[in-house]
Amino acid sequence: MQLLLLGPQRKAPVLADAKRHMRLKGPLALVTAGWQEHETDDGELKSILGDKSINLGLYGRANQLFENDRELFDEHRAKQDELKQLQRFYRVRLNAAMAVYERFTLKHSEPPRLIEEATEAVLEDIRRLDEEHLERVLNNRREFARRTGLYERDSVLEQRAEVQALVNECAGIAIAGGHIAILLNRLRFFGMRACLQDKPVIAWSAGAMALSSKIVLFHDRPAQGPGYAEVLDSGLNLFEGVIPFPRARERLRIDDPARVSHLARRFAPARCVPLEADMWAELTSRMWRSFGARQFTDAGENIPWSSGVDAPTEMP
Amino acid sequence: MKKLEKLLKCAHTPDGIAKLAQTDGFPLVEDGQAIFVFQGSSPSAVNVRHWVYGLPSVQPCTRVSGTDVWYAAVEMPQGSRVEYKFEVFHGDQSDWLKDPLNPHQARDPFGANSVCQGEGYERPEWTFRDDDAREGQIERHILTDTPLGDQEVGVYLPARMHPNRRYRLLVVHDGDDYVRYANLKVVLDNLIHRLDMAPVIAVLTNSRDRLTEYADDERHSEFIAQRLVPWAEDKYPLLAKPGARCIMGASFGAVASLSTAWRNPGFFGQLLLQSGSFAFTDIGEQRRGPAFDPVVEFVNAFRDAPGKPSNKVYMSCGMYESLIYENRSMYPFLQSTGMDVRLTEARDGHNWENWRDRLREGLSWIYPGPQWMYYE
Repeated sequence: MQLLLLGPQRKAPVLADAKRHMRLKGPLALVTAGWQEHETDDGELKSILGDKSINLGLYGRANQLFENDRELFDEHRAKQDELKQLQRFYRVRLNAAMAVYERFTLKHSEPPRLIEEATEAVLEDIRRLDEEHLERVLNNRREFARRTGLYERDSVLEQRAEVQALVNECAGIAIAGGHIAILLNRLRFFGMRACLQDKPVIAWSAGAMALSSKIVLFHDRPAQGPGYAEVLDSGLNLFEGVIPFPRARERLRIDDPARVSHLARRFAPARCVPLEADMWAELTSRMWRSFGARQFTDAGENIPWSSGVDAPTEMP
Repeated sequence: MKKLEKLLKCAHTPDGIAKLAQTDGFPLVEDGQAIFVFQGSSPSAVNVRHWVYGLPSVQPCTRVSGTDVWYAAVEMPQGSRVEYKFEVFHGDQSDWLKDPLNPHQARDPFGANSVCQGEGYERPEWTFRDDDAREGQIERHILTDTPLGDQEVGVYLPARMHPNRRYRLLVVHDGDDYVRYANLKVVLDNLIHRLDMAPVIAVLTNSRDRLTEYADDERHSEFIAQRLVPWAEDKYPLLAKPGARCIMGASFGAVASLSTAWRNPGFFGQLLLQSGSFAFTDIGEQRRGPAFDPVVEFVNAFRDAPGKPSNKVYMSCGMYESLIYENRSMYPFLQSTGMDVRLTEARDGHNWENWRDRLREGLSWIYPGPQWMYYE
């Protein structure tokens, strides 16, 4: 297993270096489904990753699938509508819990020990809320698969076989960022998890998030709303124990120890790893190596992430 | 007040005022006050002229004895933004001048005014050109044979517009003025790039006779709802449903937006109304002048039978405008119709920079972007 996680690469600052580091002999399979209708605008990407790279076209394939299988499309839309509703309900509860959490993190006259206990209790509530939500999302997905017979459907199996055949011709897989939910759905539809386990992978931004065991949405300065991080779904579970936060410097108030500490504590024991444009993290066998990557701490710091860190569990 | 003491000292020093302009900037702001400063030995009198409703619009300046420096201290709460000019007298003659000591100016169709920025005011960074933001473009078209005759419109197209995607529509009254004086194109480019708002196609309309056409003129409503929008939805990849149509405007443009929506209930799912000239009367004559007669007639009729023109309404108004009271009155009234309404007040006046500064909040609420979901 060789997995490289990178931050945003729109101006591709380290993508070429990362690819060289992988020492691949052969073309890459590209996944740019997160770019949606711009999926095939991959000229610049191919100039960096190699002209012989093969875009798997997962976004276009899904559109084709839905056009040919209207029943599947209708079920998919209904599933997505329900997921949006579940996310809204979860957000209402989360916002209330976070308001309580924030109150406890203000200065108090009470003894610090009592405040810390109260804060930890609220954090425990938030963690439970996160897990409940993930469970509901998982059930939604399972029910969709059961109701549609997704994995036995001819229309799906045909596309999966095509994708697999293309991947077989490639030495590795590159997954670009973009819209995380759309990317994740397309990766799942076309059985990409199995492909990803067999090949070296380089993934950035939403691509990195999609491969994790927990996808966290985040923005401390949103145009609307309080900007509390929320869980979306489990990803493809290619690795555990690390939660990527791409472009953290821009999206998060990482100079605010209270905000950083909250993330680190809430998602512990997983490491919260901000991924900027000029760094990456590599997973081989069971070992993480950091190439400039950092991590958040309970104390609210953003410190270098040490290399040679064991991945906490066996790869699923 | 330290700054006043500093001013009085500098007034007596050669080049003192020029140096103070460099170190502190004019007007001087401190502790909820702004000190306006004019330098000139020949005037017989100097006034500060501003448009802050609630303060005397003429603030006489005091001459610092033995110098050519004039000043006036005016209340200026935290975060305020106020436009002004100096009225400079030479005998019986007076001229209105922009402040020669203040580089900050705001433009509008009538020229430019100087701008006093109170403590804590900062022009939002998203109103400046962002080199990382891909640029949209504006096309020009002429619609012929409309209820208002031939009409030239601009159409803003977002960067990387794709024919396979369907977009939301924004109809902008006084669209060219919004581009010129409120930086609308730069704002749209930035907000779309940052995912603060959904990408939109914006149709920029311009009236040759806004005092007539915007005051609940049936022809205007027909032009917008029965010619312009169908034309746009035919020509461009638009979603073509009420939830994906927003009509917006400022001042009389806000009246036109509300009136068009009222005459076509349910057609526009969203309204964005900035400093709406929503003059009305409960009894007696209106006192804003004859230009407001048809507006008052419309708003009175609307208040009698509002219906539910739309679903979501964003309103903004400056606290230093006389219209703040009408807008504060309209807010609960619009809510009572069942629409989802938001009103933002700002310490600013009836001007383009006030409307510019509210666009992020308004547009991101009306058409939220995929900020939470997109990680490029």
